[in-house]
Order: sequence, then C-alpha cells, then structure tokens
Amino acid sequence: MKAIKVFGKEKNVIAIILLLSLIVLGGLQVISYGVHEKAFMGDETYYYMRLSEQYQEERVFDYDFLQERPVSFNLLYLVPGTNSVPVESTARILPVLGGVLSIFLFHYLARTLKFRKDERLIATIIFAANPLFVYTFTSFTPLIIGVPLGLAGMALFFRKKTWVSGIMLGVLPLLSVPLSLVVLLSVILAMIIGSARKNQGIMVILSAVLVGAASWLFLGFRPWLELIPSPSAMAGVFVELAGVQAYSFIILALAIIGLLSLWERNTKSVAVLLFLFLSFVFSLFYAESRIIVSMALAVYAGIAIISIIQREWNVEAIKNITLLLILCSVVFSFVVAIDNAFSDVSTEKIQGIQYLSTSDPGEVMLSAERNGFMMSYFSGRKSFVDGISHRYEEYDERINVAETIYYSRNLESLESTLKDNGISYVLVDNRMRQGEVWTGDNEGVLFLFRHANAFVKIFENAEVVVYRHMS
Amino acid sequence: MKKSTKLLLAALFLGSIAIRLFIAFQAEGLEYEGYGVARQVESIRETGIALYNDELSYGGRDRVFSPVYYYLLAAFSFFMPLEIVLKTIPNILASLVIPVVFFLSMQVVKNEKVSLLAATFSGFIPGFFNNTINNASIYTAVIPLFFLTAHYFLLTNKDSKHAYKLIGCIILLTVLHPSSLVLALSLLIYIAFLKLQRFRESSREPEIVLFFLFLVFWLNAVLYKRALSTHGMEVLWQNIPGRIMEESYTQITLLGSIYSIGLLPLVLGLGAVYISFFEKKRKHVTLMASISLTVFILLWFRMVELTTGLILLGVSLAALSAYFMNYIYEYLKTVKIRHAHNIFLVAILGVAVIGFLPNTFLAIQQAGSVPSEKDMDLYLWLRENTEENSTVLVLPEEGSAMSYYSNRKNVMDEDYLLVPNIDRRYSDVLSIYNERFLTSALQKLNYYNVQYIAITEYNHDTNNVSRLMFFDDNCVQRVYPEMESDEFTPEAYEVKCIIGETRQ
Repeated sequence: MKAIKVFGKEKNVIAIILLLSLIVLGGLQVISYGVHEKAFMGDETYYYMRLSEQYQEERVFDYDFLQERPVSFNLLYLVPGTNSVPVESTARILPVLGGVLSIFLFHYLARTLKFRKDERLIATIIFAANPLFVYTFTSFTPLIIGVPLGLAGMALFFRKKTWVSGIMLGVLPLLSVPLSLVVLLSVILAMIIGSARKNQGIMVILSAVLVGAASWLFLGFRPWLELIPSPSAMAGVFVELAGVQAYSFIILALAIIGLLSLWERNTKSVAVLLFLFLSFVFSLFYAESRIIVSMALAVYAGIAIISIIQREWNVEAIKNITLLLILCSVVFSFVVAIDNAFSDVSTEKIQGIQYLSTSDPGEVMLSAERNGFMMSYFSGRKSFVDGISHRYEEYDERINVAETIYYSRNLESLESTLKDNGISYVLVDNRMRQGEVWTGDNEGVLFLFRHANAFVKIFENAEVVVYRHMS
Repeated sequence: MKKSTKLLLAALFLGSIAIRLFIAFQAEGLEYEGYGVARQVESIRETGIALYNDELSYGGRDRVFSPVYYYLLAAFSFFMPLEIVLKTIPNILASLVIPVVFFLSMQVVKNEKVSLLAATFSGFIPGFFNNTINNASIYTAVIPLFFLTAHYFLLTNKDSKHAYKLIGCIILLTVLHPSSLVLALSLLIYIAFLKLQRFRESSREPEIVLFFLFLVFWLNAVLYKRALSTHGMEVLWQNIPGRIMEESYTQITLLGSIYSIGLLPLVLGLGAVYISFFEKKRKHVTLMASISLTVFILLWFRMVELTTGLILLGVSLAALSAYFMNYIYEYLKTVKIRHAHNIFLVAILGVAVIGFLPNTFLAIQQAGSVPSEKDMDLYLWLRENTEENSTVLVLPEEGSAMSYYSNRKNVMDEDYLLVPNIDRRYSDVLSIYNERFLTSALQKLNYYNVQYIAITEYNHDTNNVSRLMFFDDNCVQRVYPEMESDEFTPEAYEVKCIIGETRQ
C-alpha cells in the first residue's frame, strides 16, 4: 500500500498538533479556572491534590489522615511535594505538559516502530482527539506522568536501550499498577512476536518486580489496593454513553475496520489480536489502563482511515461524505468528552461544599460517591464514601448505610443510623435529586429533611443543598 | 413492466388506501397513541416548533425525538383539517409499502405475477395493517422507506447511477427514526454472509455499508445525545418500563407472533431462506434474509419493541416469499399438469384473501378503540372546569389524549425517554387507583403534584376500576359527574390535601 500524500513536512505537522493540543488542554484549564479559581476537571484531581498537600505538610505518603485509611505510595505525591510550587498550580500545569509530551512521545514511538509517515501522523491526530486523552490530561492523576514515562520507556525499549527503559518501565507501577500491567503485557507481546530480545523483556519485568518489592518494603507501596476494580468501572465505558474516562464508539469502530483491513491483507497476527483483546477486557475493569489501549486503537483507526482514503471508490461523492462523517464523529466524541469532563465543574457546587468547612473537625459528611473527593478537599472533613472507598473492607456496609439513609422515612431509625456512623451533614446536589438517588423533593429522606425538626437546611443554592442533623 | 401489471399494482395500492381509510373513518377520533402525534403536529402548526419542551407531558419535561415526520404531517395540516391529515396521510404512506416490495421482489425474481403477490402480502401483514390504521404511527413512513432503502441498495450494486437516490433514502431514514440502526446492522450481517457464502463481492457494497454505518452513528449520536447520556446502553430499550416490556413479550404466544407476521409470508419466506442458503445461492435473497435474521436476533434479545420487530420481520419475509413462490412456480411449469403454475398462484392468493378477511374485522375493531364519547366529555369538562396549570392523573396510555383534549398536565404518557425512575412512576400511577388508604395515596399524589384524578371508561374496561376506595369529602372529593348513576360513568376527583397542610 502506497503512502498518501496529504501531509506536508512531518516536523511541521507534529508541531501544529502539539501546538493545538497545548491550546486545547491549556484552554480547558483556563476555562475551569474562569468558572472558579479552585475548580478542576476530574474528581480524582481533588484526591491527589489533597494527598500531595498532606505530603508537603506531613511528609507521609502511605496513610490518609483525613479519611483514616492506609493508601498506596505514589510517585505523584512527590512531584509537588518536593518543591515550593503550590499544589494547585502544579495540578493545572502538569497535566497540560504531560499531554503535549505524550503526543510527542506517541509519535516518536510510532516512528521507532517504523510505521509509515501517513499512518503515524493520522494515528497521532486520532490519539490527540481521543476522549481518553482529554480526560487523562485535564485531570491531576498519576497518569499524567505515567503515560509519558511509559511511552518513553517503550520507545527506548524498542531502540534497545535496555537499562534506561528497564528503569523507566520499572518505576511505572509506582504511578499506576493497571497501566503498568498493560505496558508489561505489551513488552511480553514484543518478545513473542520478535520485536524485542527476550533478555530485554525479562530485564524490564524484573526491574518492575524489584522496584515494586523495594517500594512495598520501604515506602508503603500497596499494589493490591489499586487492583480492586471499581464497581462502576463497567458503567462508563463509552463517552457517548456519558462515560468520563471512556472510549469513543467511533474510534473503536474504526479500529475494528483497521484490523479487518489488515486481516484482508494477510498481515494478521494472532498474538497482537490476543493482546488487544486481553488488554481491552482488562481495561473494562480498570479505567486507568484505557489510555494505553486507546493508543493501540488509534493506530488501527489510523490504518482504517488510510485504507478508506486509498481505496478506489465507485462513487467519489460517497467516499468524501464518509470521510466527512468520520471527521464529524471524531469531533463529536471529542466535544462530548469535554462536555462530560466539565459536568462537575461549577461555582455553586464548590461554594456549597466549601460551606461544609464551617463544621466541627471530626464530623462526617454524606453525599454521592463522586462528591467524596471534592468534599474532603474543600472542607477538610471526612467523607463517608468517596471514589476509592471500594478498595476498603467496609465498602459494602457503607453503601448499605448510605442507601438506608437516602430512602429512610422513619425519623427514629434514621437518627440512630446517622449517630452510629457519625454523620452530621448530608450534601444533596441536583444530579442526586434528578434521578441518581431520588426523583422528587419529597422522596425518601428528603421528606424528613423538609418536615422534621431534627434537620436544618444550612446552605442552599441552585446546585446544592446542605442539611445538618441536630443531634 | 406490462401494462396489466402496472394497472394491477396501481389497483392494489389504491385498494389498500381505500380499505385503510374505510376502516380509519369508521371510528371518530384517533387511537390513544395517535394523540401524541396530534399534539406535536398541532404545536408545529401553531408555533412552528415541535414540542421539545412539553409543559403537559409528565407535568412538564424535555423530550428528544426527530421532528421530520411531524413536520411532514404539519405541512398537510395547513390545507386539511388535522384529524383528516392524521387519518389519511399515514395510511397513504403505509400503502407505499406495496409498490416498494413489488420492485424489491422484481429484483429478486423478475416475475411480475409473483412480485405482485409478494407485494400484496406486504401491504396486509396483520401486525403492520392492524397497528398502523388509526394512530398516525411513524412506522407508516418508516417501513416503506426502510425497504425502499434496501431496494436502492441492491440497485446501486448493479449500477452506480442510483447511488444518489440511495444516499437520499439513507439520510431520510436516518433522520426519520432510529430504525435505521436495524438496517445498518442488517447490512453488516449481509456483508458477513457474502464472505461466508463466498459470493463475488461488489466493490460498492462495503463502501455503501461504511457510509451508512458512519451516517447512522453520527446522526443518531447527535440527535439522541441527551437520551444516550441519560440512559446509557438502556436507551436501546427506549426507557420503556420493565413491566410493559415484560408483559408485551410474555403475553404473546408462538401462535400470536405467527398471526402477527402472517402464516403465508412466514412459511414462504422461511422456504426462501432455506433455498437461498442451501440450494441456490442468490445475493439479493441474502440481503432480505439478513434483514429477517437481524430483526429475529434483536427480538430474541428483546432489543427492539415487539410490534416494531414483528412488522419488520413480516414485511421482510413477505419480500422473501417471492423467491420461494417463484421457485415453486418455475418447478410447476415443468410438470405435466396444465396451468399448474397459475393454479398455484391463484391458490396462494385465495388462501391470502381468506386469511385477510377475519383480520380486516379485527382491524375495524382495533381502530375503534378510541377514547369513548363519555371519556371525551370528561376530558372537555376538565378543560373547562379545572385550573390551567393543574395535573390530572390518568393511565399512561391515556396521557396524551387527555392532554390533547383537556390541555392539562398528565403524570405519565407513552413517551418514556428522558424520564427518571420510569419503573417507579409507572407502578405508582397504576397503584394509586387501587390504593385503600388515603395517607399512602396522598403521599404519591402529592409527590406527583396531582390535583385531579380521572377514572375513565377505558380504565374501567381495562383494569376494572370504577371508584376510588380512598376518596372522602375532605381530601379527595368527587367533582364529576355531579349526579350519581347506577351504571358506570367516568369520574373526576379533586385532591384537596397535601400531607401536613390543606390545599387552598
């Protein structure tokens, strides 16, 4: 298959892509700052910011003092924690830099793997327009370091720089265990299909194991915590179905077409297919690994687009409309991803949550799981449930308690449940009221909140209402 | 095409319209479902905009839908009375399935007599005929367009000069209704079958399928973005309450579904599938078989509404039946009995007519299931005697009809998309009529902000509800009719209490 001549000088195209991604990622941070100076995209951002601040102050990285639970060591805490730059500034700048660097390294890796110029350029564009890219590089999570580190490590690995790549890929588990598992799986794949020497692969795996073991012994690294899948991971797999850290239908469809077109050209590899299948299934349970799978999908989607362009179509108009539709669909999922990323960015919500900081230290707050990180960050008080509660033993019990409270109509038993669990504040936002938990103002505990004297509405705005239990 | 065939085809088409209109005009008004369409058309006629923000449905809510069909009907409503438009235009559109299936069959068998017979089957498939006469159903436009797209798909494979007609059909079908997803899926299965059966692949087929897939994906994603993000994967079930979905599938028996599809199309269509897969491979037949198979799979996994699925299955099998009839017809030409092939066709026609007659009576009966005169009086009383912003409780089936005549808010109607906790609302609405205790009834009534409860003749006939058990003169007072009578008459109650206080 001949290369298509739709691109100019490769360096210029890459420079434009990098510049555009810098503008988009930077622009999104500016917009969220414009909404509220403390508003960030992705609820996990607040969690990692809080633990980074804790490290800055207490120099402890394996225990969450506020939530009173052990946490796993993560290299991310050290980045803002070891310098004097405020965590909030780091949380705005670092994702943008990580995103731009990842695009550059993705293209570099594709070049190292000897993809054709047109293939690697289209794949890079698709990677940059991928909803997972938007989510990953607008939130302050370990992935903003893990992804570029993994890409650089893989590129050096294929360039036979065994030691450097071994160290880079070896420390990857200290950023994200699911991400590193998919990267290690791709190292094994490279060994199987002969793209890398066996001793190189073994070196990488050994270094990951050694770094992991040493960190477990000396730094409080607890990989098993990250390997407990979130019960809601499967619910948000596609961005078009309101997923946030999610795949795009269109890129997945294009990747399947790309795979089929390679199959037709007899360039099939069972090992590659098996790797894709296994890593895709793994990513359904561990959202953090999706960004790596999306890179493979971007490559195959690029191949699909090239085969569509190069094919001799009977009706040229259909070809042009089809390409236009593909472009529209990719842009659509990109826009939806941005929309979804902004769903929880609101001044009113932050104001409501900030109000909770007037409570007494030690009081526990209840709200939806997705509000947990924000509540702990802004109020400095303990959330009853949050986005990583599922990693701890008492999760099922806490969810049962939360549901009992939400649907309670009996004041006496409600008060005793609240007292037993130390819950003094309940924060209700619009999403909870509009179907997530209740469908109307009188349903379940909302009825008691309105009519029982034991509860006082202490804050209300267009987005949130905060009730306090007067025990 | 012979002149006699043209005449017969025209007669069939006009005959179908005549029968449909005759049945439709037997009843005054529309079937309950039709009033949802009537409200949309009326809104377009008055404001130029469809009811995206419907103040009466579910007490006021946003809707997502494609407005194309409503605008088409609204265009006619400018020079015809609304009720006439809603009775005539959908029936003319539905009858178009006859010429469409005729031309589709002609591509498969090149036999005008057989194609005419297949077209006859398609026009009178019981599931399609009975469910699209007096309810202004959108399927009257969707079904002919669905098969016209399939027809142009086959034509474009032969000659690319039809490509633009195909593109037009594809775009129109996609913006009209999400059923385009079923066709896109069928075409994918068709391509897979071509590979499996090792047909010589036309280069146009994958191109058109690719184009169709991307168009369907993009347009539906844009049109139904809100529904997709609200319901996720469950949007496939259109947020239909689980109980309704369950009942529609459990209530229908094997015989019921055979009846809905039509025995002749089913037997002859399955015969065609057998012949095309195991004896004489034909590409055109494979397409129709792919459509049937896709719909069957979707029905099996309950991913399509039962009635819609059975209509699509019935019409695709009717188109397929041409192939099997032609197979027998050609075989009978070679036997020694004179005119055996013609006798065969006459016999088939005879069986079809005999089967059609009882179905017509059933259709007349069904088309007559419109709001009764007494119910209409109640709706009009509500319009004249209740506050403009008030909410009236009726059954979900009656919601649109009540809002249409009374101009009052309903608690629930039959458009379920975007409604949160639909199962709970559905069971609440049904259970209020059977509540024994005032407090628990009031909790629900207050929750849905209900000011009036209507017990209609329809509710009485279907659920045997004649009176509210919890009514008392303080909180839930009967306001219609003024005089009590021994026989059942529709009633309206006013809800005067809110738990904890008394409504002014």
